[in-house]
Amino acid sequence: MSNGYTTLLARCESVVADPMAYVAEWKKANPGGKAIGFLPTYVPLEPIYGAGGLPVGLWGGDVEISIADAYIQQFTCSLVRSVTEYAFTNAYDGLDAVLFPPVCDSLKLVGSIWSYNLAGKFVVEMANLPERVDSPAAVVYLAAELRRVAEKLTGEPLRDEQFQAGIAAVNRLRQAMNGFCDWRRTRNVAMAEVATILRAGTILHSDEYCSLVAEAISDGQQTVEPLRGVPVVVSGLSCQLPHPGMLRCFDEAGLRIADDDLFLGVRGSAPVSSTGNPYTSIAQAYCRSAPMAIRHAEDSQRHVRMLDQIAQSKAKGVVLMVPKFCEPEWFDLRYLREELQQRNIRHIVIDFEEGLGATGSLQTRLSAFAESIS
Amino acid sequence: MHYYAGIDVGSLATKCAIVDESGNLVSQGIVATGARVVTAVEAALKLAADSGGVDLGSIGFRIATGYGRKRVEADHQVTEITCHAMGAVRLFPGTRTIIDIGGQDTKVIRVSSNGEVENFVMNDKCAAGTGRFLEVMARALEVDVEELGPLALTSEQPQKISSFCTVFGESEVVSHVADGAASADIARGIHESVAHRVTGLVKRVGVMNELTMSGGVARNVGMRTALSAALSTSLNFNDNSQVMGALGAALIAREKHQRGHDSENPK
Repeated sequence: MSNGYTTLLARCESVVADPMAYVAEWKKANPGGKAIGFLPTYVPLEPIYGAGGLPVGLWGGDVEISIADAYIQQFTCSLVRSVTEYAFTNAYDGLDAVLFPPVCDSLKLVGSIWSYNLAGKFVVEMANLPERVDSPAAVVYLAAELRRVAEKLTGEPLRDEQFQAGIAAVNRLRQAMNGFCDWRRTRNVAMAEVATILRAGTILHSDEYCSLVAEAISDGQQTVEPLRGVPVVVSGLSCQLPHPGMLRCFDEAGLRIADDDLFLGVRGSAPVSSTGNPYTSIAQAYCRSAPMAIRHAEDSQRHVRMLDQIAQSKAKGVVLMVPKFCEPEWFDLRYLREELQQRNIRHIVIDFEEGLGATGSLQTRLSAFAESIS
Repeated sequence: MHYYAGIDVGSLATKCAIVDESGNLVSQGIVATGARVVTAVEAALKLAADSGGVDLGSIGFRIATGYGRKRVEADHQVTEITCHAMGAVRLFPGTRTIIDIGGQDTKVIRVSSNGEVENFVMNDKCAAGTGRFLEVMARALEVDVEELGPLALTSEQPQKISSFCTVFGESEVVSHVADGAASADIARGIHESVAHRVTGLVKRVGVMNELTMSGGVARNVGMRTALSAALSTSLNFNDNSQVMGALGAALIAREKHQRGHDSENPK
């Protein structure tokens, strides 16, 4: 890999390993700037950047759960349990606010628990997203909700030029993340590295991230090599992330993740128009964004995107990753399987949690799947 | 004469199967895996070679499978799912669904008529519905695990074991013992508990006849009876069922070696 890629990866690994150290570094360089944490999968980042703030994606991690179990049930998804453990053990104390999109029961309830118990640490605010996004009413509703949330977080209405700067920053960020995805699909990049680099895009300031990505992918443009492994499409990673060790199992099993939906909530939104009412523009972009389990639109369905990914990447199968206790993903599972079965597309269902545990069974399942489709 | 070996390193037993150039099963060897995989593999291979009168030097290609496959010095590693499919169809050509209950996991495999894997599911991380579950319960009943199946067949009033969890299941067994229930009735309940768990897995891939049972637990007559009743169908089984994975590995070794030989010497 190029020097640019090595630099990008090293920076991303450092930021992902300790996001709050980066927040402290950023605050030191930007006195008075606010760091706003956000939970997956989507929140409007434009007002945060517009107000000169730093959005910080909170994606949990492989932490031993202790205090969180005193507040939430063990049959809650591991993402919600791990971020709650971090929050209640002061790991997020450098944040000024945390924005929740209550897109499932777990996030809705845990947002209230944070709000009640952590009020002295940071502001907790909900961005109530519409589930059905294919009606004009969804845009009107969401625009009003985004205005309410943004003004609550920033304290005052944003000036037009601030908003335009925020929109431009986030459009560039999405372009960089998607540009990196396009670039990596033509190269043998370890999936754990891909996940780290994309995750860092939700933590690093857009300016630095875009610059690092641009250098990495321009350096390597001439070095396309034969791709290794049996190509598969992976779905179900837009919210909860698998442990890097789990992603390494794909590589070791001889599978190549040719396409995926990692961080789709952040990178899957359409570019936001810089003209017209900014809240309406952001709402329109969200309602036209890539399909995910947490939203519904008759004209934009998950299986259609998946079939397109399979066709584009010449994938030989699909791995449906389903986080344990994730209602939205489990609701979609049956429908997605039916669509794949109807077309005789080979697929496998893997349920997972953030922690790694023993990988023997996973390794066997992925290897057997690779053997059966190659 | 060339021979081909398949070595299936399971969590409890290491199995070796040797086939000849025509794919016929020549011999087999089964030893306890224990803590030293390499030693167990050497022992199983030697046992199989000795019992078949096969010179180890005449084994042209070896394939390792099973959970310990990566620790075996072999020409190639293949998952046990692919190997069980190949072995089951060789032993029972009408096989379309395989139930493999091993020491630490359970797999249900859908296969095509030529032994290719079409679909499969595995149990979750815990020991419920596996050979280990039966071992723990046999210990709680103070009977040898080999005796558990025949004992279950003598039951007149089976006791229900409602917990899938091995730890809670063992507590239930202890409670039944304390209440004075007959060991045979508890043993029957244990097998029915596993059968229900495995039936759930089978239904995830769909029941398609013929069903063939493989793995060490296939030797357990109580388990075969309980599964057959739960699934309302008969199950294929024979004395070679425990080495089905190793046999599949040996057949794949033969195929790979002969294909490689053909490509090196094109006609």
